Amino acid sequence: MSLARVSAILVVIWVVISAWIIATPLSNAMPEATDHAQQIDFLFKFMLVASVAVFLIVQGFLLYFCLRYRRRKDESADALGSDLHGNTRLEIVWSIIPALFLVVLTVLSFQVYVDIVAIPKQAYIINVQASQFQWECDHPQYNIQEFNTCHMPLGEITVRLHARDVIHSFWVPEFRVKQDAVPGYPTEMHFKTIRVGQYRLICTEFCGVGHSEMYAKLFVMTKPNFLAWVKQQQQANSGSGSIANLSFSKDIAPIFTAHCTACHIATHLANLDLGSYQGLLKGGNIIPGSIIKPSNHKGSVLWQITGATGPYPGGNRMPLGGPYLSTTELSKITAWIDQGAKNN
Amino acid sequence: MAATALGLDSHHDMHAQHGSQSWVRRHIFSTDHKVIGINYMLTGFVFFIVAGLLAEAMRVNLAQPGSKVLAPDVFNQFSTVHGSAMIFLFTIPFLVGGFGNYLMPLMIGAGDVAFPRLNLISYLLFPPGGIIMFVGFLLGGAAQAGWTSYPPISTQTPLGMPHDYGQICWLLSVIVVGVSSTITAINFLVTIVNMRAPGMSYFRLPLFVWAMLVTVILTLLVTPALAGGLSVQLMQILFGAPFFEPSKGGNVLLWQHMFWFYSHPAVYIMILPAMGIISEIIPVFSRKPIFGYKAIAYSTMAIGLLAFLVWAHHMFTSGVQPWLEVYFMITTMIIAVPTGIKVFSWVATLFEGKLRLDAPLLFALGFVSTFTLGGITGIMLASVPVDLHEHGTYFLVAHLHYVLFGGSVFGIFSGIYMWWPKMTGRMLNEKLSKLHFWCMYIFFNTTFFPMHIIGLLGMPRRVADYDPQFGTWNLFISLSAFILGASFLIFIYNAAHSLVYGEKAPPNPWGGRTLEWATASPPPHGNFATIPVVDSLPYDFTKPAPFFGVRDGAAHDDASHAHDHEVQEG
Repeated sequence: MSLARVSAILVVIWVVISAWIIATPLSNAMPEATDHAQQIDFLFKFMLVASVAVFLIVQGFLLYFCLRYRRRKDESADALGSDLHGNTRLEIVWSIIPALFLVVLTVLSFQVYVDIVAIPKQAYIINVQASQFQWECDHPQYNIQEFNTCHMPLGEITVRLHARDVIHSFWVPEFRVKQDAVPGYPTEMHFKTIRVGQYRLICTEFCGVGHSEMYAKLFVMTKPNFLAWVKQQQQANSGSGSIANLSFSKDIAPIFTAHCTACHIATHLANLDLGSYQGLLKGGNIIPGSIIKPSNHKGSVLWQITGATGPYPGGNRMPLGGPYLSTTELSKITAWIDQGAKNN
Repeated sequence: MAATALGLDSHHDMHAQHGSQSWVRRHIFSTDHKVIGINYMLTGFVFFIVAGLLAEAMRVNLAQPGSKVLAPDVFNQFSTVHGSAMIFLFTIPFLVGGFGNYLMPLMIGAGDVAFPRLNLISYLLFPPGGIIMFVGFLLGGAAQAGWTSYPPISTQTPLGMPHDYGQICWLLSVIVVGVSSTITAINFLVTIVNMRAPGMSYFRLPLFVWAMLVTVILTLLVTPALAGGLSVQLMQILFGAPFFEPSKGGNVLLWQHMFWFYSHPAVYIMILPAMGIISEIIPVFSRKPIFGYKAIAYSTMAIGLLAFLVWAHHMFTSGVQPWLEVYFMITTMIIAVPTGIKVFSWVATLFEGKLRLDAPLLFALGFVSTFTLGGITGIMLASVPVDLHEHGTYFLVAHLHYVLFGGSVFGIFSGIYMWWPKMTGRMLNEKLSKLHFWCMYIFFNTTFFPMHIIGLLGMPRRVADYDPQFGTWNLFISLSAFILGASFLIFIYNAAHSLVYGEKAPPNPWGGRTLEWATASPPPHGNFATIPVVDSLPYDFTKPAPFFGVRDGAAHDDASHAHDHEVQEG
């Protein structure tokens, strides 16, 4: 089998694989939910085709030379190879061609990057506050806050990232872009959402014991649906929702899920489990005993430790380091306790 | 290269005037570079096993979603210490302190390094420095902020403790081994510049020595930068100095720049010596010269220079200014060119060779295969837009293991198999050696290749738990990792058996042409009876072997006739 034959085989393999790569949309594996996603997927495919070429050349010739030039059993152990120790023309070729490819790749990457960092003239703004271990998404235009969920419309979006405590990172795989949230140093992302759906917002910068649990549900909605959601939130916030006959499972447990998961549901720091009603009765080990006193909100550790004013049992307001519960949530806790703190 | 050296066997100890010394004096407190080199390797190997076991424990936890085998903070400690120990307590000490110490003086025809006592001090800092990192486990928890130790997570005080003792231990540990590294770098630099045998010009240096030269210059220049960063982080933790505290005027990103300014060159410190080893092994086992000696030497220098210019490609999502990110993208792309030149040159060396597919060559070719894939994913990461998706995910974990394990660890093992006879005077069992290679190569790939895929599909890194959709892949990876870990037992058994029952090694079992083969296995104190005179390039197989022919050639393996044998000149 000659060198030329082997080269030809490798070229054929490369063409076949490259054709498959080019023909298969990457969105089959994972949807492209932003304009940047489409550009990045194109770049990735370009790199993949080139990578297959490099891999086949190196691996292919390595294997071929191993098979063709191996010492046979009947040959002396002293037997030598040829004296070939260089070929200037070949070395120049294999320096220049990769360099040229890298120039092309750099130029293409630069073009995509310019697009990614470009600030759109008009965009819907979301302020994201990342903390250990939850996402708070604020909609300044409508004065809405959400915890561990994030709703946004189709179209140009600007995400302004803030971190309260340590570095976190905002990543939605379907968006193909991420940006760190850095304490003391606001950062921004710009992208255009192009696909309605529910996605996971994943923290991608190690942030402590709750890093594995730091997810939010992110919803991209059509403009009309988004506006309908906005209206719903505003009604809920205006307090026109009744706080009589509160239910533990419908009104209180979701507060714990939104604000306390990383420390007290996924893990049980201070031995406190807020994943169940029984956990409230059992309490933790730093402040022993049940954290609720039915019909007595002022005497309940739960009310004391989350409220806007201290003193705080154990010395720290919860959730630790903020963001703290909203006025609505605090009212619900107060009311539910006074209504008997029932397991309903 | 032909040498007019007379080799020595162990009967003719050049320093017989020392008189007899205790075992401890000869084996622990020796200033002989070969003893120090072996000690670095032994200590480094212990840390390798421990760090590997930490990873296996992590893989037990990661085998299934929702697993609670390790508490999250314990998992984070294991992942931090695994990475830190593998880098600072295994790879760098083994390659630089181990192989560098053992081989470099022999390869340049010197009797030892320039400052043997300083060399011993370097080594003696290493075991305590390493142990300090592990002491954290006993003080309320080891460091748990990742090997990159980013503030503010690394400077947060854990609940209920006055200080993060584990983090303090980590900082002190890395400072101590950093000092050890820096001292060694000075020592090696002076040795290579001043103590080369007559006739050994720079362009007659074996490529391993070129690699060590560039590596130690890098070490000398960047390790102090890391020491600076570590010291100020320590000052912040102990005394509240506000370097990285935004509320007091500090800047969180400052740490990242200081850290990566060291840690990017550090990855070249870890790969250049391994590449040097590969450059030694391929010509010997192809029985022909290396292809493109000068190109490889110049590429090594280019990589060393470019290493300083690329560090912020680890920070593309950190909030660095866009124009700066473009700059770092360009420099990172450039560094791929000299790396590619080396890979192509290694493959081209095999062309028209007479290949002995023994364990050293298999591991060297395994290196070429896996490191190339790691280099390819590195180019993907160099492109800022693509990095925005891949950063902080399992794609990166795959990339780093392909270059560090597929690169440095395969390089280390190929060096072990190559120079084992020289260092121990015994041969390893070839069948077991080959079995070890195939197990390691196959299960390395099955462990780390799938990580590319799950990273792209949405699994972040440094997580103790993950979305259930990745469950099957993680189980497959964990099972592969367990077999990969177990395969090291083959090597350990082979090594132990060789030391006790192994066939005695001749001075030059593989027919190498560099100077370490021109003396006995193992070389005596002082290495060479007379200083060799070099008159040709290394890897010149037209010249007779410096000492004896290859191992299984006829009648050429009688070491006891060493001092009677004269090698023809030219």
